[in-house]
Amino acid sequence: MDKYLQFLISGIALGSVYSLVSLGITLAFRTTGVLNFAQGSFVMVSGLTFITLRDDMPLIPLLLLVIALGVLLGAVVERIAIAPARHLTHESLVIITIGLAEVLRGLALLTFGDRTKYTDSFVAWRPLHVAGATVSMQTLFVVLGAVVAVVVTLLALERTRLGRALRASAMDSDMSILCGVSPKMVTFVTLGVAGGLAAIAGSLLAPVTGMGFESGLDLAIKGLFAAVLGGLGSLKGALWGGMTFGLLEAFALFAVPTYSVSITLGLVVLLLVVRPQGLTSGTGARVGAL
Amino acid sequence: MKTIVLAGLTAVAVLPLAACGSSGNDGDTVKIGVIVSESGDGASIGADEAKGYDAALKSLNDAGGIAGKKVEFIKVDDKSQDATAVLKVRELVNEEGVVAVLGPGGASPASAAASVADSLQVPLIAFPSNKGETWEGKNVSSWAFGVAASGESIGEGCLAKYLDWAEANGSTPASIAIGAETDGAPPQYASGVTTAAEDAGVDVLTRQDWPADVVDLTPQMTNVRSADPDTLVVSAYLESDVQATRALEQLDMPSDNVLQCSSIVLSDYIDSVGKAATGMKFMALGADDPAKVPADFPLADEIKDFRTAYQNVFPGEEPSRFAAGSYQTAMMLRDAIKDAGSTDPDAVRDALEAFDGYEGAYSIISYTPDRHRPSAEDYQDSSLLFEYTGTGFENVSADAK
Amino acid sequence: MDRLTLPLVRRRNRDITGLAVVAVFVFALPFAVADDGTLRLFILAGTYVVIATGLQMCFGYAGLLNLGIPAFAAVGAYTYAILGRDGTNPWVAVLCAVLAAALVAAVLGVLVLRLRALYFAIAAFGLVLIADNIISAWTDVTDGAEGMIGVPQLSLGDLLLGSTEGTYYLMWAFAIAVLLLSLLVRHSAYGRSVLAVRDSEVASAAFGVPVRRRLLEMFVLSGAVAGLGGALYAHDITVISPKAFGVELLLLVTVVVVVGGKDTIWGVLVGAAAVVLLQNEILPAVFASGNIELVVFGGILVVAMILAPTGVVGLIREAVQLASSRVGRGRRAEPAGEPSRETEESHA
Repeated sequence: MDKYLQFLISGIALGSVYSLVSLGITLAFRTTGVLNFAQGSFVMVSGLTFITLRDDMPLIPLLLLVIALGVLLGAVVERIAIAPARHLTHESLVIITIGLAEVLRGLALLTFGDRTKYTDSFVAWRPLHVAGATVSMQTLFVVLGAVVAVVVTLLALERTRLGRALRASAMDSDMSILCGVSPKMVTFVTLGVAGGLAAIAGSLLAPVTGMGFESGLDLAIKGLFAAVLGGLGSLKGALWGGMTFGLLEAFALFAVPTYSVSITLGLVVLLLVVRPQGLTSGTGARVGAL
Repeated sequence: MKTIVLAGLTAVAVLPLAACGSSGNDGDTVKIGVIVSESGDGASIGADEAKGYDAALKSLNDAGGIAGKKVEFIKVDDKSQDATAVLKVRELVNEEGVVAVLGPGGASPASAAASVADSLQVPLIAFPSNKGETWEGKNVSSWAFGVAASGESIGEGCLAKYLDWAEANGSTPASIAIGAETDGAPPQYASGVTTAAEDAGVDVLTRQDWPADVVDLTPQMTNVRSADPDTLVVSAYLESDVQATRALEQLDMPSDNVLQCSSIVLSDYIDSVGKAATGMKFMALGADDPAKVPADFPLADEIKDFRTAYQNVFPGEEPSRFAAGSYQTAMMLRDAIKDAGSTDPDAVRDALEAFDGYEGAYSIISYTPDRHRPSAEDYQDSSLLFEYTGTGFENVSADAK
Repeated sequence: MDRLTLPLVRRRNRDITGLAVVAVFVFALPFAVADDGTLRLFILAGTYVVIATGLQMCFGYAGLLNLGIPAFAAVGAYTYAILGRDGTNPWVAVLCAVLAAALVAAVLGVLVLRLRALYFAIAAFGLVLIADNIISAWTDVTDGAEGMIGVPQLSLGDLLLGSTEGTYYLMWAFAIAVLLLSLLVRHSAYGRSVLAVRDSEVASAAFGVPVRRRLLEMFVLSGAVAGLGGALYAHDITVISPKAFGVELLLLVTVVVVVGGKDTIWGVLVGAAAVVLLQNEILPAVFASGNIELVVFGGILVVAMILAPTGVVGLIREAVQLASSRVGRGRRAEPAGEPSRETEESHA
């Protein structure tokens, strides 16, 4: 029994991380139409920065710094790679973000080297023992951190003027332009937020898994699959998608560890074929859907 | 129109390359090809190996070269890829005319290069030699020779040395658990450990497996804890080894009954886990920590010479085992050419195959026609058992005190 | 031949002639340049040409961004290697490799093509990871993540094609064949229906084009061609591992198609030449570390997509059009009823 509980906890932890990543992706997609294949690289770069500076700074200022750098990264990427390409097709933008992901991967390799780097958990507390399973403190932080980040983001979108502008642009970009919302500003802010969310994910994840220049690819694909599973249209979908994907992966790791990647991704594809709109009704995945 | 553009582009491509030609072997120098991973995911290990080659080159030329001729290393990068390694071997032999090839430093590029060495009939000495079929058995390579023993031998030797220590310490385990990665060298080590356990009458209570990119090993370690073995043996590469150690920490499990039969650079591992490794035992070679090598250790002189040569080129730096390995391949080639009395490929190859009890900075070597890597005994005699005290390593081997 | 089809046939013949010229040049080259290193570069370019043509046909003609191309190359390579090592005749093994890749593409295509464009791209990208996972895990068959060695090579009778020259001719014979295939597809009625699907699924469906089937056929074709490339690569290097078929290959092949130009085979040739030169001559000369490759090619992809989405060939074409329209400004207007060159060109 405790073995299953252990995997469930794993799944929830993984799911929280994927929710964060897929939230960044879904947000970007809804407001700008860009499917950000580089989101995983954002996480990786932020995580590596966090690990590298860990010994030089106390935790809270470091987190704030990394998040600020993440927002900056997103904004810079938007200015140099997305904004000039606004007029291109979706596929072209996908190719651009793939190119970006590789650039970031290469820069990480040059800057941080080829070895995976590790760091300590946020606090050096003993793990909790619950019903025969063990929950490490960092796992709790991951879940809590993700929840807080998501709630804050959703609230900001709901309550602030900027947030409403973003949502309006996502719902009806022509109308919102008429109302004075600048689409360029929307893209700029959204990518910045995505970068910030990725930074949070990277900082939370770094003590658990370590980060290396290769970590971005894995996260990118899984984040994309999670976002798509959730329906790619709604932010709630991003959360559901992330959680479900995390649980699916934990199950696959439990059942057939060596094939877990194929099983998880394969299951998602099958799910989408059967239910193209994803778990929640979003923009929908089936050919011909609007 | 397009064709003209195309032809033009191709001409541009051809022109600078027409200058390249195949340079034959100079009368005055001995050309040796050296393949290291300067880029890609094996680059940090490759950097260490490159330093070993640098040390070897200086040492060889300071001593007058090989057979009176100056030694020239032609160093190329295999980018940690099998395909590039293959192409580089071909390039070194066909275009540069080298007499032999040293390296590459990765397990699968080394096997790949070995197959090319066979087709081109050029001797090759590589450092890693895991992939069984290339280095031992009926499909053994004829022209390639390895410096590392088989995974199973290493695993066997690892547990055997630990049991020797335990006996001398009065704490022989009656049971062990094994945790291993599923791919590459670790499962070979694990199977060697199992053999040694069976030979010694020690029970293997459970065997936990995990893939290389595992993120959370608490489930596997929970299973180990429930089995309650006297000793836990871990066989992994660095990343998952760190995850295993963290899991042990999380679960409040002890570290001083853990034996690491893993393929890791000890200092990297300690950098990553710190005090969590206190009390752990590690299989090691003399080259891992030359300062800890006892005077009566069979390779003590070679390791000292190697360290001196290394610090000649890199003053103040401590070498790693990878530098020792690459250094040894160069020295082996020198000695084989000396034994053969010429650089003729066939003679050198035969001379290499005749090595028996050869002592180098990394390992003792004896070859046979169907085993082109050190034997289990060679490995045992070359290795030590280290313990991490929390501040550094200590040699605790029962025999080599 | 009537007025409408004559320009099309002329264009096809012009392209075929162009390809014939390239073929002659390629086959004559080793007589002028016997240097191993140069031939090796051409072999590498040829490998890229074969695999990239798979992407070019799919993306350029059908508008399907098949990011899973490396996975199909892997299927081809491993099928060839496994069968070859077991003793199957290498030529039969190549054929099986192509068929296996086609089969996998067919099965996956049926599933994945039901998804909308972007979801399809994501799923295709996922194939790369899935292929890597399966190859690494299925160690009994594939020798696992460390790779497979001892892959047999093709031979013609007694003549082993494993030498540099032999592989050069082999690779380019197939490269020319694949380029010809792409050409013929492009200039056929079938190809035009594919282009129609790319431009508007709704409109082409209204005209009776079986949209889903066309997309599946192009997907399978691209997978088969990539599989062929994988098998030839396995013959050349004689060792294969999952690393060879990962994101690096995807990046390089995408750069070939994007930088060269996705709409024509000329784009593939130009792109392959550019990539090979950059990767093997220019970058090593300028930078000390090989690790710069990722940054450079990723950057090229971004910049090329923004500045020149139609690729080098597209730029040249636009320049030629600009030049010829300036030259032709003085002449009288063309007689009514003749399709102007402009409208035909823009659909290339």
